[in-house]
Amino acid sequence: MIKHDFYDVIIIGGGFYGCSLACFLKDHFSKVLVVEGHDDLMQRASYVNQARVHNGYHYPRHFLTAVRSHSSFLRFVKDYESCVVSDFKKYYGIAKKFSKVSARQFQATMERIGSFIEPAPPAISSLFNSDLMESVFTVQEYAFDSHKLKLHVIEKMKNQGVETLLNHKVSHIQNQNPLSLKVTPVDKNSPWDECSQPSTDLKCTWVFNTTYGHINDILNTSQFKLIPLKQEITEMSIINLPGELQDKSFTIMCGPFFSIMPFPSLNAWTLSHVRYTPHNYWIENQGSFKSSYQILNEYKKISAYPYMIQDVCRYMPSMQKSEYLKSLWEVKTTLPSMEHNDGRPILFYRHPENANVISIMGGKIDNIYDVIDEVKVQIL
Amino acid sequence: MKSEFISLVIPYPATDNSFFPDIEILQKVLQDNFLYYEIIIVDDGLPWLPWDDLLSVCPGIRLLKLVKHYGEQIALTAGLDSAIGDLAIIFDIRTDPADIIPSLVEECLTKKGIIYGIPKNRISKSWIRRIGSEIFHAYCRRVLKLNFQRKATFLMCIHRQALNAFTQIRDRSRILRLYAATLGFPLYHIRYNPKNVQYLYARSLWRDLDIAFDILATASKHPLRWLSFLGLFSAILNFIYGVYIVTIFLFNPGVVAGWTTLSLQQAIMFFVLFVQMAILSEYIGKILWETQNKPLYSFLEEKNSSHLLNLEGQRNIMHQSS
Repeated sequence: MIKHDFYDVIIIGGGFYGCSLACFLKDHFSKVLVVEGHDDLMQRASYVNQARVHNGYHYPRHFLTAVRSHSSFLRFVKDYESCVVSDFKKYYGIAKKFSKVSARQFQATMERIGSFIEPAPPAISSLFNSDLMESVFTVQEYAFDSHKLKLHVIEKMKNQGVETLLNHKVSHIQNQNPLSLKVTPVDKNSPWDECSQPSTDLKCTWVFNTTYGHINDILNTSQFKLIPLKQEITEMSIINLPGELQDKSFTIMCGPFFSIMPFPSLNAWTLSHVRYTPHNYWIENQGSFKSSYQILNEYKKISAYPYMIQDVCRYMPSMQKSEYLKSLWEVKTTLPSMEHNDGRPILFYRHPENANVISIMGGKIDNIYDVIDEVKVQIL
Repeated sequence: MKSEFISLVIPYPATDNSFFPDIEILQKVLQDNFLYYEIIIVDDGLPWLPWDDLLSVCPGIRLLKLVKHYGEQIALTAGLDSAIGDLAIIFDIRTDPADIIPSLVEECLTKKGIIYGIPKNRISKSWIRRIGSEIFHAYCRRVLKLNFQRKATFLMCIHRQALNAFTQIRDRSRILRLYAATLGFPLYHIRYNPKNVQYLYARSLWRDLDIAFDILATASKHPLRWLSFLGLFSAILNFIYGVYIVTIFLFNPGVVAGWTTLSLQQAIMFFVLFVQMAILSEYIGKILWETQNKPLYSFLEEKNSSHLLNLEGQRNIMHQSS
């Protein structure tokens, strides 16, 4: 239910970024509303991802991303302690061929940013094909339970008094002062299809667009200039690991390799592969526009798991005994300018049409602290 | 301001602090042009120097002190091994001007290979070294198929992919320019005006010869192949000579084996044998050197600038998508 017709802040998108931002802004504004198209919060990209709490290891080729991941790591683990899963050993391997980093560079970079790293014990190294692997390291990286994280965030929002409006989408932002938003109920099964029910007009001072892969949908209908974004339809395989690997997690760097992470909310593991996880991609820009989620919905989802596991077994023969359960499909959104390096900066874009409309897009939930710090600098 | 991480490797070339001011100038150029950088200075077993004075005033420096003097190529290896940048620049603080770095980096990022520095002005050399250099480079180019950048200075910018390949090679006889020519990465050059040209090509003739022989023995089996041909040729000659002796013995009963013939045969045989031994010993020495189970180098200590990372207040935020 909408309690007011004017809000200080309306946040479009009830993912982890939107909800966390709402909690922070509620300390500074009296009326904060989160509008979410689904019937629950944190259902899309905040759920369908590798549930990795980054500690910098994933970004040896982008120093700032690695440093910020490491500094956010300890903070995130402390703030969301009940949602963090740490009862597994994490290993990063560096491939001999096709890797964009050498083992020496990887180790030196991680030591420089202060993340724990040491050579893996021989029992672990022997799990890998030594012809293909240069080195394997033991590192400190955790996973988060996205279900517990959602409950944690919802609890926090309730305590803070953040309002939420589920099953609704913002179909239009009217560029006026104050800003006017047309909020429309949606079909529960298909959030991009509007219902025939009447829409509501809400007014507000600030709008934060935190809809991740959906960012340009609202900009398109509101006739704001679109943000160039690279969209990918991605598949993440949910698997069970063979017994001897069950308390372990592996990531092979840095190129067309793979990662196996615990997925606590399903009590299973995810397998993603840099070559086979993305099924197709396109750049969203001005011109003909189609919602990325609509493209995802229409995409014929044929799993690439056989390709993934075939390649994984070259590096780790014991993975032959892993069991495929299902695949999770999602749109992954990245910045085109980061195409050629590891960088995963957060986009914080104040729209030239109205500086009170801000789009925020980030790929890693544990980097929320940079968003909060940027809001402090730019807004408060 | 570029966001690529730049690693600058400098084997410190003096036994006093006369180049400290140049390092400070260099650091300012890096700070003005790049968000992330490191200056890796390798102290290759030098006598005591007031490094702490430099480290306290000049941010972004990593000093690697080696336990003893290993030589320029090993010092460079130590620096490159610990470089974490997207690209590494090998820099001679005596001759390379700091302001060449932005264009060097731009060139390397665009072409994704190895960029050499070549002086714009011709540097004079003695006629004997010029001729020797011509012969050597012609041999390398035509016979060994090694495309050395002639006239290249010490300055070199190496893209990360090439650097990864460099650091995987653990040969003791290390000549980085040779690796650059043999690894297959594209080679380019940038022309610039070196300062203090008296330091350029300041090696002795003997050192040049030493390097030339090292390159020949490291880069190719070509001399060994010639040795094989020579051995085969002398074997054939000996066979023909044997046939000749038997023929004369059979058809000319009056002939007595003479001292001259025997001596001549022995002289030729010993000549061939000694040449073979000389070349073989070169290769055997090399195998011995490579198979010694010692580390390439050892660190005495690593020291860092009081401000190593310039990340204060930086957030991982972009305000434009592209």
